[in-house]
Amino acid sequence: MPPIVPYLADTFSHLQFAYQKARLDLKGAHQDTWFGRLWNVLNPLFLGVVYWLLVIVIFNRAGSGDQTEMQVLTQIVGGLFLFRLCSGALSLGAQSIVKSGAFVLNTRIPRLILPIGSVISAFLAFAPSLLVLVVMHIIARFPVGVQLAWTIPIIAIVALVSLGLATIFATLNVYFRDVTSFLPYMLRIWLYLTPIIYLYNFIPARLHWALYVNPIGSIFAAWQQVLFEGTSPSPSFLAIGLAWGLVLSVGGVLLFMRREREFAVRI
Amino acid sequence: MKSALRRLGRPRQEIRRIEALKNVSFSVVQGEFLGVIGANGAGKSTLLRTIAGILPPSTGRVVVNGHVTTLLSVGIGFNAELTGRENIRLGGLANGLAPKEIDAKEEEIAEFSGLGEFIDYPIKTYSSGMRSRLGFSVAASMEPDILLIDEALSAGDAEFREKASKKMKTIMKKARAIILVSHGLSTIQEMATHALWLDHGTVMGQGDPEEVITAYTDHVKVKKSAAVLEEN
Repeated sequence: MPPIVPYLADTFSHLQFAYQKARLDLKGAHQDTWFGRLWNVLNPLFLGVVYWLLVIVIFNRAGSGDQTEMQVLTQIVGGLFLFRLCSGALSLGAQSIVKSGAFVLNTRIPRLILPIGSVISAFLAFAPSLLVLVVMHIIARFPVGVQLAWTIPIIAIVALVSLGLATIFATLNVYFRDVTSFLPYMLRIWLYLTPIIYLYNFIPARLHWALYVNPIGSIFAAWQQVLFEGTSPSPSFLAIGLAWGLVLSVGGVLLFMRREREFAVRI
Repeated sequence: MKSALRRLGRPRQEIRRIEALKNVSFSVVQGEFLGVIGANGAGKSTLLRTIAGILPPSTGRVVVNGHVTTLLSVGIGFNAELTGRENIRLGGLANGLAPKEIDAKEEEIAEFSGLGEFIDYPIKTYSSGMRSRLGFSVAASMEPDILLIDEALSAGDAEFREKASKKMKTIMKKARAIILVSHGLSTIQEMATHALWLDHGTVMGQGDPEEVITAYTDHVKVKKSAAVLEEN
C-alpha cells in the first residue's frame, strides 16, 4: 500500500481534474438525445410516476393518514432523487477502473480519482433535480421551514456512503467482473429495502433493525422526517448514517489503495 | 462433459507467469536523452510504465527524482465527445496544472498542435495523426522534469515530427531527462545521448546510440539469415 498521506494529497491535488472530467463527461453523455441533460431529472421523475401508479392507483394506498396523492408522489420522487445520487455513484464507480483501462495503463495519476469522479458525476446529475423537488414540495404543501437546512448534511452523508461504496465496488469489479451484472438487481432490491416508496414509520417495530443495517436506511428516514414531517432529524438516524458513511468511505478508500497496484495488471 | 460441469460452464482458464522485464538495471542522469529500442514485445512499453509508476515492479525498485510527465499513448484520457480545446484543459488538469496555468497555456498548446479550427471540433472527428499532435502538444507544454514518450509520435506526419523534435530539444535544456521509446532508429540516433536495447525483457546493450543501434541492426540481420537458413 502506498504511503497514505502523500497519496491522498496527490489525489486531492487532482480534484479539479475529477470535477472537470465529471462535468464534461456529463455534457457529452446525452449529446445525441433530444432532451439532453434533462434526462438527469426526467429519469427519476418517470420512475416516481411508475411507483406512484403502483402504490396509489393500483394498490389504492394513500400515504399515512391524510396524505394527498400529490404528497405521496412528492415523497416517492424525493426519495428516488436522493437514491439516484447513491445508485448513480455506485454504478459509475463500479465501472470506473475497468472501463478506464487505457487511462489506467497510460496515465500517471492516483486512480482513486476515478471513483471520486463517479461520485462527483452522480452529484452533478442529482443537483438539478433538487429544483424540481422544491417545486413539488411547495405544490404538495409540505412544511417549509429552517428544518430544511438539515437536507445539506443529509445529502453530504449520502455522498460519503456513495464514495465508500463506489471505491469498494470499483475494486471488486477488477477481480470479479460479474459485479456489474449483479449490480442492477442489487440496486433494485436496495431501493425496496430503503424507505423511499413507503414512509419509514410504516416499518413494523420488530423490523426496525433493518433500517440500521441498511447503510442508507436511517439517513433516508432522516430525509423523510425533514422534508415530509417538517421536523429536525432524529439524532440517532443522523449518527448511524454518519457512522455508516465514515466506515464505508474510510474502509473503501483503504481497500482501494491496498489493491491499486494490481489494477494495471488485471484490467 | 464432466470437466465442463466442474467448471460450472466457465471457460477453461490458464494462468501463465510472464516476466516482461528481467534483471533490467540502468540509470538516467540529468541532461540525458535515453532512446529505448527493441523488437515488438521486448518490454519497452512495460519499462516506461514501470518508471512512470503505473506498473509496479515485482522485484527491485525504481527511484525517480523529479516530476514525471508521460505521453504513453495517443489521445489517452481524452473524451471523444469533447473538443480538442476541452481535452487540453483535461490533459492539463490530469498533469497537475491549476486552471489558471492552463488558461495561460491553452492558446500556446492549441497553436503548437497546428490543428487550426479543428481544435474546437470533437476529438472523434480527428485522425490518429491529429490526436498524436494534440497529445504531444499537451505533454510537451507541461515543462516536465522527466518526460516519458512511447511511440506517440509515430502517427504524426513528417512536418509535425520535425516540430516535435525541435520541441524536445528545447525541453532537454529545461528538463532533467527524456526517455523515448521508438522504432524510428534515425530519431534515436539524431536526438538521443544514450540508447538502451531490450530484447525479451533483457538488456542487450546500452551506451552510445550509434553503437547500440549498430548492434541491434546486426542482431536483426543475423536473426533474419538464420530464419532463411532454417526455411531452406
